[in-house]
Amino acid sequence: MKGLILGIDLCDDYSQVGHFDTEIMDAVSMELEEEESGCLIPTVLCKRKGQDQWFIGEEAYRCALNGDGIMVDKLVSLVEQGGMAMIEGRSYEAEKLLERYIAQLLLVPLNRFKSQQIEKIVFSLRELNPVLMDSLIRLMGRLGFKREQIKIIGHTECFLYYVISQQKEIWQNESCLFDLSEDGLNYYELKVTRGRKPQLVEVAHQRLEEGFSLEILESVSGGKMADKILTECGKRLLDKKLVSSVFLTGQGFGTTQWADGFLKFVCNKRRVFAGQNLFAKGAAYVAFDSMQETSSYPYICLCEGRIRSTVYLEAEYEGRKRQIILASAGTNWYEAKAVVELIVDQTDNLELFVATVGSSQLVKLVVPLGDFPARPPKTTRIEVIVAFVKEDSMMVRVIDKGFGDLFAASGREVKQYFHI
Amino acid sequence: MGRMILCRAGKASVPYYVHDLGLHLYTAEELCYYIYNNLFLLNEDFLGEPLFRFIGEELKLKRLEEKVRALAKGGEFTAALLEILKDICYYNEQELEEFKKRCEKLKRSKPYEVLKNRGDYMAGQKKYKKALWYYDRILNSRNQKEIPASYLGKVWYNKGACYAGIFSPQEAASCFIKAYGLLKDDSILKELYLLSRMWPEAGEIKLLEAVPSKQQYDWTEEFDSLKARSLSQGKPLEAQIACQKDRMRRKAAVEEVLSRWKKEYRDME
Repeated sequence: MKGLILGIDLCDDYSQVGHFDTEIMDAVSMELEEEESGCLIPTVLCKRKGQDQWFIGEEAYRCALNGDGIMVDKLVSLVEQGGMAMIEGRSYEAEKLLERYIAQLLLVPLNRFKSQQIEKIVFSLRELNPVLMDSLIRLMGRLGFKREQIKIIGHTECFLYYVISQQKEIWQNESCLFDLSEDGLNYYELKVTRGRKPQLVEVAHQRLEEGFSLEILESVSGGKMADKILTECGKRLLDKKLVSSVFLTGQGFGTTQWADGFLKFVCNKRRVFAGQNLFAKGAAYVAFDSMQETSSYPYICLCEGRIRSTVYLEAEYEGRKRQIILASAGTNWYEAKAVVELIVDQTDNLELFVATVGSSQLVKLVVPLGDFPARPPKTTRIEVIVAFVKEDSMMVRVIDKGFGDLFAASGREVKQYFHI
Repeated sequence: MGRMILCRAGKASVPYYVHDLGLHLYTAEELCYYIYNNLFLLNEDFLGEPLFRFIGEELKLKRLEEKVRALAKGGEFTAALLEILKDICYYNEQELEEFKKRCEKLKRSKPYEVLKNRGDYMAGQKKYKKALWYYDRILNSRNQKEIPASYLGKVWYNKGACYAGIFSPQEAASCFIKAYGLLKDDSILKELYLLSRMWPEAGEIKLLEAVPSKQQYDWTEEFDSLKARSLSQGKPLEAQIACQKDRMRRKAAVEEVLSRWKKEYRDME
């Protein structure tokens, strides 16, 4: 076996590790040995007092409960806020703490499979927060990983890949997911548009207001109330929809004894699956697929974190007019980046075209280049950089590169943001 | 109608050096631009090993290299240039037609016309020494009798201007005198007068003795006004700005200006 192919679901409360097993060609989840919480590994870090010894997960809890250490929790939101934690009079940057946590977490699969290396890791996050994503990439770099070994996707995308990795009957019609955790109740709905090529797989996500604290499930009356809330919610969301499968995940569905009414409703003519490892497994599927030359999923996948439009420009190449794709619909915004070099011929504008999935309208975006030095035709080379700051917000940067020794570059540049 | 052209991927790590202009070409597009706009500077020597290597190895255009090699071997200079322009597609059909016409015109040009064009281009680029080399090739040629006197006069005049450009007033004056002898143009006398005012070391110019005092007075006034104006622009202004810097920055500013001027002077080679 070469290196491990991992999917890591990194949340504020718990983390999970999924592994793509190339022998059975499927994703499997993993747990810490001696863990009580199955595959859920608490996202906490504990430093043993007076020593440079750190623990994660249940062991961290135990160390803190015994009074032997100082624990830091909510590591993910701490990083998102760019926070610090004070441990034994010394302040630690949140990013450094998350780095320690992940370094220890990676030992789980490495020890389990007695492996020396990890080939690919896909992180799954509840929300694609740019601060957290940048931190993850930086800290993984410090842990010795190359940028191309790391990918970051959201829960929505993990759900999408998890479902389309299952048998087709399961997603013949729509598929839904209820994710109930301390963070709240999240609902995801997957649809496939089959009348086009490539087929379009789309997942919509809603954070539901009906979320409740999981503490209420500890009492019978609280469980009944939660069941009632959830049943109403299910009826509202699934009414008149052709749903083939319903997935239940999150700590709230660790047991479903409290949700009789809800289960009775959703199990009617639908297949229902409950489990805790959906996101980590979904990430592991993505990890494996991203290592292949051609994807096993011949679809345009649209979901949170993915661009809904194709952005292109028109330029001549070898004497023929061509469309140069700068970003394709269905690409993860964080990874959508294009750099092209063009020669400007008798125009003061760079024109980009945006074709949005599901819309027949073509939108033209114009970047004015009037501030660049006046030169004879075809003697201004420009570098066009297109990147995204969100799935619907595109940055276009155009840099004047001159024309070799013949016309020196001015160093001027134009930067514009477009909502697409 | 405006358009964008997608750049070819290849950018040379070892660029093609254009000796005449003292510049490097890094891309296929720059090569096309150079050929298209400097046709009169090119001759059969251009189609040599450095160009073939640049096209084949640096720009990774192996097939084009082979074609150009074959055409060069067959002595088809214009066809080889056209092949480069066509293959790289930097110029459109209309522009290529125009280039063909210029090639035809160049073929019909007399050798001294080609040389003067090259000299004039170099002078325009402030490559004065290169320009002098071309002018001398005309003036030293054995077939001078074929060249009309007025044409030779222009060559002498341009040669004089180049000498003035490299701060050689005596040589400049001598060329202007020869140009005047052939062209009998009074504006050359004026140039001579201004030259002698600017650089007394140009020596006594007998021709100017015949210029009426009134004319000389007018030219003196013009010279003084030009001199006064020039003090507040161009190089004098650059020098003034550098000298006006505070004590801490003055030395660096003056050195920067001087090194730039030295470079400009060296680039005149």
